[in-house]
Amino acid sequence: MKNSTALAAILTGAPVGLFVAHAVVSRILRYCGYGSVPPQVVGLATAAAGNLPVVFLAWEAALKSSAGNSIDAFYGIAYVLLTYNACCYGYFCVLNLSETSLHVNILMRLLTGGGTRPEQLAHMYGVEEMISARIDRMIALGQLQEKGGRYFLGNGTLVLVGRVINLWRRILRLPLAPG
Amino acid sequence: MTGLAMQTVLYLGLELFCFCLAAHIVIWRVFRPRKQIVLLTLIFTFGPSLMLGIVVLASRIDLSSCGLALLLHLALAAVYINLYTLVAGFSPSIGILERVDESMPRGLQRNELAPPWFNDENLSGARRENLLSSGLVYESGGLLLLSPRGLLVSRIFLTFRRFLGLPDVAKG
Repeated sequence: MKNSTALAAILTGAPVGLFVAHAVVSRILRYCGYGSVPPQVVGLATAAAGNLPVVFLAWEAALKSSAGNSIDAFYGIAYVLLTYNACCYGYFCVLNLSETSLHVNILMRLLTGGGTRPEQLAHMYGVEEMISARIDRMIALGQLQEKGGRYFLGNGTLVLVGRVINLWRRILRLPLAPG
Repeated sequence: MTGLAMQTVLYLGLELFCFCLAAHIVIWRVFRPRKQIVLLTLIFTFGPSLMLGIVVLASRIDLSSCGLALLLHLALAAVYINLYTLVAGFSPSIGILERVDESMPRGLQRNELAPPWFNDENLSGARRENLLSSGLVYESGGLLLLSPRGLLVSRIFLTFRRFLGLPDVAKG
């Protein structure tokens, strides 16, 4: 097998490997009594742990024989890390979509519960229901903290993400608020 | 594949992505397309073909290097297109956290968490309209039902979630 083919095979197969590893880790955690850990955290940790075996495989199968010096090795490893982590992020987005997207949630409810009246949907995804569903998750993810009935900012990562998104909306001339 | 080729692969992959990103910014600043994700996917799929054709004709880069560069480009494009859904839509979670952030260090009570744009029209209404216009659901006899396409998409997500051992429907 050519080095480039082996490298392409490792990198395209990595998301499948991550999917299987994530399923195994999720089940082990549930078996050990850690079933409440958010799936996004489990997915991210599994993906991060995958960097080592992927770089090792890529090095053994393709990069070792072609890298003439440390600069060559650097570019090869940088390529593998960038491509693998981009693939992981794509996987994380699918996972997050299945957890938090309202579009997917509506589709899943229609699949498992059959047809629904639009009014029922409006009730199910009303403002209060939306906030309740999110508060638990944001507290579990450390994004929000609750003390004495008041809510405070936990880690500011998502707020920073919101600022970057608004900056990008300005660059693309998109509206900054719905409506 | 030499070390020099890996350097070329890395830079070519990044150049392909930047080329498509620049095209996307220019197009969006000139006019805002209706089917944004479709056009974005077309730009990031056909843009590199055009550029790779020029690169292969104008230089001595071999096809396997082009293939690896295209793989990097496609991985980055998938990241960007996924991120773009956050840019085009509005995340309720980010909306709540931005509101809490503005109130710091005082914090907010539960009934103050909802941003002004939190209403049925922008939440379930906008999503329902998107699902209807994209043909994933249809209305019949006052009920919302899954179209064959919607059935396929939701079954893929169901299989995905069951394989991971997650409950069929998340809290949303």
